[in-house]
Order: sequence, then C-alpha cells, then structure tokens
Amino acid sequence: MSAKRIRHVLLVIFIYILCLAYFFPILYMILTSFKPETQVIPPRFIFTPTLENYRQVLNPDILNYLKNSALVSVITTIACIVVGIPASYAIVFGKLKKPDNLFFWFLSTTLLPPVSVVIPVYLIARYTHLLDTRFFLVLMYSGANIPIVIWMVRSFLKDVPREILEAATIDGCSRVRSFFRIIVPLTQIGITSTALLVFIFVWNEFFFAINLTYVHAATIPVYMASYMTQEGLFWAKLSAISTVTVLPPLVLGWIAHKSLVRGLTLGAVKG
Amino acid sequence: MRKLAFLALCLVAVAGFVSAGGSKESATAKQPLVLATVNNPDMIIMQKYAPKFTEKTGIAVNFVVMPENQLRQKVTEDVALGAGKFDIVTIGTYDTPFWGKNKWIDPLDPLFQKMSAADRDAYDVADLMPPIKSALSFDNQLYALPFYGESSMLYYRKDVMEKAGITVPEHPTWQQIYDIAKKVNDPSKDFYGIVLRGLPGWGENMAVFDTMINTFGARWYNMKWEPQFNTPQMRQAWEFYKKILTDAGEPGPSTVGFTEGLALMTTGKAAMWYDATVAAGALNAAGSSVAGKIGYAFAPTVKTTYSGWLWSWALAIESASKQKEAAFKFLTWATSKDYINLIGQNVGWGQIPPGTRVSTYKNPQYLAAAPFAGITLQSIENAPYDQPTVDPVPYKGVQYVAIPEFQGLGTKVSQQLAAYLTGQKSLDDALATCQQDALQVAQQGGYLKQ
Amino acid sequence: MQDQPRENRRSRFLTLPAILVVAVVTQVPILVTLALSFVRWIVVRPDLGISFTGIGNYFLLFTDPDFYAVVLQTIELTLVSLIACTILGLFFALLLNRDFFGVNVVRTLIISPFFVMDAVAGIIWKTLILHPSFGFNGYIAAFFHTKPIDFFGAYSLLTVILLTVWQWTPFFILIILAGLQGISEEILDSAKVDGAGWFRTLFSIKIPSIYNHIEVAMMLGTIFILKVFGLIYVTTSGGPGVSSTNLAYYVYRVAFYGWDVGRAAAIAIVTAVLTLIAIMALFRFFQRRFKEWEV
Repeated sequence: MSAKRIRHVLLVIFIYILCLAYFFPILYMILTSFKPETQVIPPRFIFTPTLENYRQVLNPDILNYLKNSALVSVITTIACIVVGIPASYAIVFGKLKKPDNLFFWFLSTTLLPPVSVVIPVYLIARYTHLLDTRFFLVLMYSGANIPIVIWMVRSFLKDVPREILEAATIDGCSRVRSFFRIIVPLTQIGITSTALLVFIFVWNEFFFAINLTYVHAATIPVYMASYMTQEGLFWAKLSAISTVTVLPPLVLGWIAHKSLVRGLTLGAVKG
Repeated sequence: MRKLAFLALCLVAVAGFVSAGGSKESATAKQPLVLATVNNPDMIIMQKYAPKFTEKTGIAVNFVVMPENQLRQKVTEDVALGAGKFDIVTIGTYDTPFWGKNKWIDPLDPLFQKMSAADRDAYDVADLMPPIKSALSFDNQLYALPFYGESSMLYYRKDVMEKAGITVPEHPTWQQIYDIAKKVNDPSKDFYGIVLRGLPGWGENMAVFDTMINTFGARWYNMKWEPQFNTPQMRQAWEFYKKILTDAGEPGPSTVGFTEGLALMTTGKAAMWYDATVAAGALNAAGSSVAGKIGYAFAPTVKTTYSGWLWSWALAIESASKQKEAAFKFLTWATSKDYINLIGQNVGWGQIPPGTRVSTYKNPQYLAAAPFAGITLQSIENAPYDQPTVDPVPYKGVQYVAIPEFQGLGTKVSQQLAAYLTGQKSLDDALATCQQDALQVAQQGGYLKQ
Repeated sequence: MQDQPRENRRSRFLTLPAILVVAVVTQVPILVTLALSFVRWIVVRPDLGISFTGIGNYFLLFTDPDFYAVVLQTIELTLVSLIACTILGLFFALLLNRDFFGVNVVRTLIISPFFVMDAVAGIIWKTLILHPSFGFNGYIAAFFHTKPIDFFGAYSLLTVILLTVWQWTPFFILIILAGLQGISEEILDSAKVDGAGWFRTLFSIKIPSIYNHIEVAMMLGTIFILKVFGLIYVTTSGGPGVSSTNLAYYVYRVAFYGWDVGRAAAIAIVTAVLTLIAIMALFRFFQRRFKEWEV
C-alpha cells in the first residue's frame, strides 16, 4: 500500500471518529430512549433495553400532532419555495432598479426574535379569530422563512455562469426554458438544501406553536413540551419522543443527500 | 403565457395555505371540554381515567398538558388577553386568589348552590383541608377545587443514619441538619450529606429557600412594604444556604431542581433531602434503590415552629368558558372521594392524589400504604400561610409572596441566589440587587406609598 | 432598450407575492409591538389598567444596568459563536468534500444536530452530558478524582456558546459544502498540475470560489444566532443572575415573568434596531470585500 493510500485511509478514519464524536449526544439520546428511567443516570452503555418509553409516548393522541406538523411543514416549505425562487430569480437576473435594497429589506424582516413578538402576534391571532388554526401557523412560518429562501437561492443563482445563459439566449432559448433546462439542474443541490432547511425550521419550531395553538392545530413540539420536565424522572421518555420527532427530518436529510451526490456526478460547470 | 403559469403556481400556493386551515369543527351541541394542566404524575393519571368521567356524563375532555412554567404563561395569556379557549384550568394556590380578584375565574359557591343536596353531601366541601381551602379562596369565596396538596418535609436514609449512629429528631433545626449532613457527607464516594434545590426559578430553588428565609427570621417586606434584603437575618439565611451546600451538599446546585433531587435520592447518592411531601411516593416506588429505607421528619426550623410550605394544584373554571356547568361537573368528579377511591383501587393507594381531604388521612388503606401520611397531614395543617414569618408582614404565602408581581421578582431573586451559590456574585452584590429589584416592584405595583 | 420597462415590470411581478406575504407577516407585528412599547400594561394587574406612558418604558430600560450587561452578552455570544461556526464549518466541509466509503452516512451524522429541536438538545446536554452529578461530566470527573466542572453554573455563557456552536455548525457545513461541490474539477486539476500545495489551493482557489456561500452562511448564521432562545430557555434560564441572558431571552423574561408587555415591547424594538445596525455593518463589510475579490 502506497504511503498516499495509507494517508487516505487514516484521514477517512479520522473523519469517521470526528463525525461520530460530533453526533454522540444524539446517539446517546437515542440509546437513552431504550433505557428504563431508573437506568438513565448515572450514564452507562450497558443496560436492559425496554420499549416501555415508546409505548407510553406513542399513544393514539400523537397522530394528530404528527398530522399537523406534517401538513404545516410541507405546505410552508412548498409555499416558501414557490414564492421565494421567482423573487430570487428576479433579483439576480431581473432588471430591478435597486436589487440590493430589496435584499436587505427581506433580510431585515428576519431580525426580530420570534419570542419578542409573541404577545403582539397572539393578540393579532386572537382578534382575527385565527388562534389554534393551521392556516395561521403556515402564514407565520412562511413570512419568517421566505427571506431565508430568497437569500440562499440568490447565492446559488449567482454561481450560474452568465456565459451559458447568454449562449442559450443566442441559441433562441426562452427565459422560462433556460430557467428549467439550465438554472434548475445547476442549482438543484442548493434548492434541495434550502427546502430541507425550511422544513426543519418549521418542523422544530417550538415557541409560536406552543403559544398560538391549543388543541386543533398543535404540532409535535407542543406534544414534546409536555415531556420536557416533570415531577418525576422523564429523560428516557423525552429521549423517546425526541427520537420519534427527529426521524422525519433525518430521513429527509438522508434523501436530500442522495440528490447531493447526484448533483456531483452530474458534473460541475464546464469552465 | 408565462405569466399565466406563474399565476397558476401562486394559486396553488394559496390553495395550499387555505387547505392547511381545514378542520373548522361544525358547532355541535356538546363540544368537549378543554382542560389545561401540568404534566405531574397525578395529572397524568387523571388524564388516563378521564374516560370514566365521559362514560358517566357523556362529556368528553381534551387535555392540554404542559410543564408548569409554560402552563402558567399560556393560561395567563388565555384569561388575561381574552381568548377564553380553555374551559378548565389547573392553577395553584399562588394564582387563585388574584385570578379570582381579577374575575378571570368563576367563584364556585353559586355552582355548589345549584347542586342537589345529595350531590353536595356526597362531595362534602367541609372535608377539604381548611388551610388549602382558604389558600384557594378570595374574599371568602372558593374559586378552585384542590386536586392535590403538599407541604415540604425532610427525607433521610434510615440505613445510613443507623450505621453512623445518628438519630434524626422529628422536629429538627437547621443547625442539627447541618451537623448531621457534615458527618455523613462523603464526596469521594459520590455520596452527599444533603440535597437542596439550587435551580433558579421562583417555584424551584425559591420555594425551598423561602421557607428558610421565613424560619431564620427574615422577610421580603416589612409592614410598610419596604424591602428587607439588607437585614442581618436575611444575610444569615443566604450564608447558611451556601455553607450547607458547599460543605455537605451536591455539586453544581444551580442545575438541581425537584426532579434532579429526586434522581439523586433514588440512586442512593444522598443521605438527606428537603423537598416536597409528594416526593415520598416516588422515593418508595418500584425501581427506586432506596425504597423502604426512607425516614421522615418535619421541615427544619430555626425561629418558627413549623416551616413547611403550602401548595396545591387545583382546578378552576375560566370566566370566559361557555360550558361552565359541564366544567363544574368535571371539577367535582376529579376532586371527589369517589375519584380518590377509584385511583386507590385501580392504581394503588400510594398513588392517590394526596393532601386535599381530611378523610384521606383517616382511610386505613391509605395510611397503610403511606407511612409519611402523618407528617404530611400535620405539615399541611400547620403551614403558616397567613403569617409565614417571625415578624409581621403585609403579604401571605409561605414559599412565595402572594402578589402577582412575585413571578417576576421571585425569579430575579432566585437567579441572584444561583449566582451567589455558584460563585458568580458576591453576597453583597446579590443582596443589593435583590433589594433594588424588590423596591422597584413595591413602587411600580403601588404597594409602597411614597 | 425598449424591453427595459417591460423587464422591470415582469421582475417586480415575480417579487410581488414574496413581498406581500413577508410584509404582512413581519411588519404588522412590528407595528403592534412599536405601539405597545409606548404603553404601560402589566397583564397580571388589570386593576392598574392600560395607560399611555410615552417613552417611559424606554427610560426604564436605559436606566437598567441589566440591559447593558445583556447587550454585551448578546454581542459576545453572537460574535464568538459566529467565528467558531465559520471556522469549524469550513473545516468540516473541506473534510467531507471528498468521495469515500460511507461519506453519505457521515455527512448525515454531522448534520443531525440541526434536526433535533434546540430545546431538546439543550436538555440532553444539560442532564446527560454536562451535568456534574448525572452526566458524563460527573462520571469522568470521578474517574480522574477531580471535582466536576460546574458548566452551567460557573461558566454559563461559555457553555451556552458551546451548545450554540454545536448546533449551528451543521448549518454552515451544509451551505459551504454545497458551494465546494460546485467548484469545477478542471480548475483544481490544473492547480495540482501547476504544483500548488494544499494550503495554496485552499486560500487562492477554494475560498474565493465559495465566497458567496460563506457570505450567506455568515449573514444568515448571525441572524439565527442572535435569536437563540430555546437553548437558553431549557439550560440556564438566562442565569445565574443574568449572566447568560441575551436580548431574546430578556424580552421573554420581562414579558412572561414580569408580564410587563410595554417594557417587553420596548426591549423588542431596541433589539430590532440594534440588530439592524449590526447586520447593516456586516452587509457593508461583505459588499466592500466582494468588490476587492471580484478582479
């Protein structure tokens, strides 16, 4: 084995260890979800596994929370992408007078921590009778995440080399066609990453969900909150519900990575 | 053409928005009651047995379960900002009086009048423990029915004390507890003399520490509402708390609340623990390595006779509720003698909601399952709710000051305590900050007449 | 060109839905907050009523020593986390930008802290890992016969920074990795042929190529880290004292413990203004720098 090969293997092992260490707290959380409460502390790796926590946590109630979370997250993500990409496109390739100012305005709308405006938002929801509705959640989340989509997609759009677009226009390609035939494949990775991020932000959003929902529109973080502290040992149960909650984004992340790889093999831009 | 395509996309997005709205339930005759509650074991049991109530009355109940802090915030939002989406709320002895005063919850006496004589006798309001009843009243009107009640007591390891040849007196003083803790403290073996809450929060470390403030002879305000953080007694209390934790207590106290204390005790890492009486059940439950080894004593004192706190989680009806009669039915069901029997028979007598009715403490089955019942009963009955301190004070409440601003003030002071305990602040700084904060509250709340 | 006005209109049309939704959702609450900041309203004292108090809330705010401590801590928390996240993000992205067995697994692993709710992550760290009695911290300390470090008590702000970095680095990794993967193979190959070492390649080719992505990551990262709340909420509750309180948590404390809606609104407005200034500065910084790079 050449020295180069050995170096490569060592590097790969190093990366494995590093990533595993980074991931360790979550791994430990998943492990803990299978422990009986009395064996959670002190920390240990050998224990008697049990499904009791999952049995307690996965009661029929959880379906409503999951349904709400899924609906709200998916619809918000779609809405943000559908509304955000055209805006981003217009800013980068369009003929706006001062695109940078518009950018900056979008960015400035995300500056305020959600917690700072909870009471005003609660008041607005209350007086428009939109408390405890999925619609209001989707509205709030979209408003919060569209700027993020615009900002991220802008950087990916900026990377598309002008020469290709110009060549296509010279060849008689229409704007829409060049968008779908050229821009989308090149920025696919970026757009997928962006969609994934928005989905995760919405899926995990906790504070607005707790304050603006009651029974009908409650999402999964609200259910999880009831396990966050108890007058009794709760860490194994919390780990269990958290593992369940983390599964959809994790699976999505896995799928998104497949497309990342595909983007790589599709070849980078010809210089 | 392209514009149309884009418009179509937008319409799809809008349709998505709208469909997400969905489920507006059609107004049916009987809507389920919406109940907000904490995620304590007793409440979880209540949630599990709620279908029995639905069987009996045909009224369904939707539970919204949250941790205590969130519950209080959410329910306060709901009542104060007028949304009125909860029918029944779980509130404590702290909130009840001024919520009643603000007309956020309904007085219950009129509803009791509407009951049939037979039902009223079966419910037996007189059976509810007097101190708890009075803590849940305002202006002599009962506003909430107690679901469970507690005081505080000292737990200790009988086996450890026997081995060390120590007898723990039934009415110990804090000095005695300090000496005992020091004797059995053994940090090299991961074993601590005593566990005390240090987690910031007006209901966390402040609950425990406030009882110490009271019994050391200090107070938050004098009769003129002048803050009293600069008195020698207050200083003594603070110094003592730090001393006992440093010399014989658990490490990292600012991360130890009720649950962590329970965990330390049940994994056999501590010899003593001063905390809520409701912990007794958990300490003796299956899976606890110290079940059966626990001895009980009254809350330690210095200058007062009884220093245990008084707390109850109770059910109340929101004034904005549209189903008050149905809600009242649930209230009386969940706090009735029948309910206690139900839980006792189906779950176990060690797990019934304690501390609400005198009859519970005359029940032989309960007394057999709960060796700590005597001390709990006496602690609740003697909790100095109306006059908690040595010198007279203009406020009520043992482990809190019964003013609405205490949520904020108590939290700030608890943070100063944590800062002092962890060495981030000197005692002088911490006390000065507390004094300043307490003064601001008294002034802005209109208590202190300038 | 005759097409100009039509182009302009079309571009504006494309941006309209986005502007509409964002404007309604974000500006209306801010206006309400602004209005509330001039009002004295203590929710739990309805007997005191709601009264107009002008700049009373702002005055109270600026004469409160806690406020200045909180601002300083917010700056410290954000700046340190930002720099750490950028460096670590770059580091990991470079490592992961290669093809080897299990690269997908490893990439998903390292991004996963991002998928877990920040509140839950905080509890896991606080109780299972860093706790001096129950966590690995206590266990390791006992093993080495030393006193366990009181992470959340004595080093509250640093620990919050640590957790923030742990949670947000994956975000940086994701963006920077997407950028690195867009660098053409030819450029890298020709650099190798020219004899450029690893170091040279990094600073002369790779980083300039992903400048866009680093900018986005840092800008968005700053905004997110400024708003960190869930972590603080479940671990230190802003304490001990106010040592780990940032502006977001400060608003929460005043609004939901003090129930002083007016003062909380004032803090929120001040937060918005301060962060706007900070972001403008950062934005200008990137604008100027980009002009330099764009040769």
